[in-house]
Amino acid sequence: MKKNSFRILRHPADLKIKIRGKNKKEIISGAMSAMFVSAGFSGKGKVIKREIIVKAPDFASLLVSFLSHVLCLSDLYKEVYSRLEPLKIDEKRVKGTLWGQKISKQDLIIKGATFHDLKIKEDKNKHLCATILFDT
Amino acid sequence: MIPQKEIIKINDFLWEIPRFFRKDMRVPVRIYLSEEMFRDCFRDRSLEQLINVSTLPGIQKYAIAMPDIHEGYSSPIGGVAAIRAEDGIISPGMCGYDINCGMKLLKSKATEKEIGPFIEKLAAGIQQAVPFGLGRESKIKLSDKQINGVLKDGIEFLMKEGYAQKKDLENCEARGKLIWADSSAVSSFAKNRGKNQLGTLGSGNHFLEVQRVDKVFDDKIARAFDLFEGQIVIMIHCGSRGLGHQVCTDYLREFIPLMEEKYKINVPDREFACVPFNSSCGQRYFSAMACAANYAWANRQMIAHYIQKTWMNVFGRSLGELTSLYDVAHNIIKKESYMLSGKETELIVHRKGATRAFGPKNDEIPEQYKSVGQPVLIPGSMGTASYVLAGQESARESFFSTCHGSGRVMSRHEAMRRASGYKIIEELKEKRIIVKYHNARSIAQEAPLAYKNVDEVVDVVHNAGLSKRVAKLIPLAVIKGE
Repeated sequence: MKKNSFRILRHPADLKIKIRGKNKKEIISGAMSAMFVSAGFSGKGKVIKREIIVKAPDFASLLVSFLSHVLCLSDLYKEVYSRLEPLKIDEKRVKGTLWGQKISKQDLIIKGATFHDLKIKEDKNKHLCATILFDT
Repeated sequence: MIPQKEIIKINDFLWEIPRFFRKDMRVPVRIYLSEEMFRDCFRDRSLEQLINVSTLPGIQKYAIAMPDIHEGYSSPIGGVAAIRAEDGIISPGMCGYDINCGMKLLKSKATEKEIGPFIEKLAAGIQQAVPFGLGRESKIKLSDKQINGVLKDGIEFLMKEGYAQKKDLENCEARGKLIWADSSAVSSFAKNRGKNQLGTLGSGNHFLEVQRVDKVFDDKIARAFDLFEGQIVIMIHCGSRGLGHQVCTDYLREFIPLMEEKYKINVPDREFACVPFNSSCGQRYFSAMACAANYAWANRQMIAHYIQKTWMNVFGRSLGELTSLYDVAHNIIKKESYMLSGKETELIVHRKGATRAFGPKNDEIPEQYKSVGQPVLIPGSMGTASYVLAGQESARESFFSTCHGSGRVMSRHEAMRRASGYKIIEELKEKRIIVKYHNARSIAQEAPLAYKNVDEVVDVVHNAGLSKRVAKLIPLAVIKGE
């Protein structure tokens, strides 16, 4: 993912990330990549694909629910995901294929994606910006 | 930003933000801090988060914070909320993702003099025996029946399987089993995450330490705890691993729409995700949380079993076996009874980064500690002292809660940016502390500069009467995951 599409914000204890994207698709896939990159994940070996469907009552909840589900799959199968395509998305549903590998390195355990201070806003360039706090 | 002038000093170790400070507060806020620490607590948003706790429906007396308070999500870490069961809420966010993260302390009959030349061998053996770090799986893979057994019965299940003894069960909070646990309330994702992680330490601030009892402050209590100066003890810090994280995640996702649409509960932070305690969904979470708590006690016991085996491999029978002093949670929700306005009242006590600390005579603590109070285990940051304290009757005002550690002042990212893992390892070596690790970055994340001073934190809880200082423990070997 592009380096300037996310940045780590200051937080006294946990991991807070700001993601920027042209649309909801970029926010969803960018948040996943930013989460893994910030926690120092690397992968190795053959490409693994997993189908994923997540539903939620609104887009903010969808973003957190999606990241939570990806974290669960990552812990369960010891995998790191770098792509999400093809990706179908609307306000309340994400459907796609995760592309990943087995984890070779990880610096942080992410316990959960939180709803705390969750913000999704449009900036002056009509890009979406999402701020998410992860419990680490 | 909270103006300092709005905060009332109750005494040298207790401060209050009155109920009228913010419109939505239901009770005042109380924080246990020294004068020096008080100035520092304005550095982050922890006080604002504590005020948010005071708005929870059913909260009684005060929203309380311990001296290791720091910013978290929903509640600050170090927060305590006692909610009336009859008409109050239960909040998964106020327990957090690492359900029943906690401490266990194993004591030996040996002194540092006796094991000195073998500490390296012991630490290396423990590192070998206990699965550490990110993605390291358990040595045993639990079947469906076994994971349900662990969730329902905690340490009792391990005793039947030969991984625990009666003493382990007795010297554990709630005897290592919350009886309202119901494994049908736990998702298959959570169970599957838990099947391969029993007896694993994880990473982050979780650790094992071989320690020496450096100083005894209270001879009578130390005798009851069977602690003496020079004695070797081993400390375990970990929680419910991926299973607990998943239980919290599952219920947060379910509860947010229920809180907002069905129950119309207004809270300042969605992450509280609260529902009425007496609702069916509230009861289901309470049962699932109990399962995760039982899993965490079993997890620490399994690690203790591996350490015990290593101890026997290194020393044979010459130094005797290790025995558990106590095992206590610092992220948990418990049902407890208190007299409020002259009436026995059932409260749902949420402790997030706070340790339960019952005073003498309490029915819930083991017989051998009844005359002196419950053992409280407080870890320091890497390379610094840890403490054993005892619960006090005077802690009733904090719903028998005390601190849980040093308290972070810096994120792991910031710590990795500022500190060098290798430099810290060198500094520890200079202090003759052995460090066993997989990744120096994990050492940097836990650099002492990222934490408050544990001595100051313990001074406050001791002087405020929340728990009594019994013994100071000095690290001899630190064993960490990735």
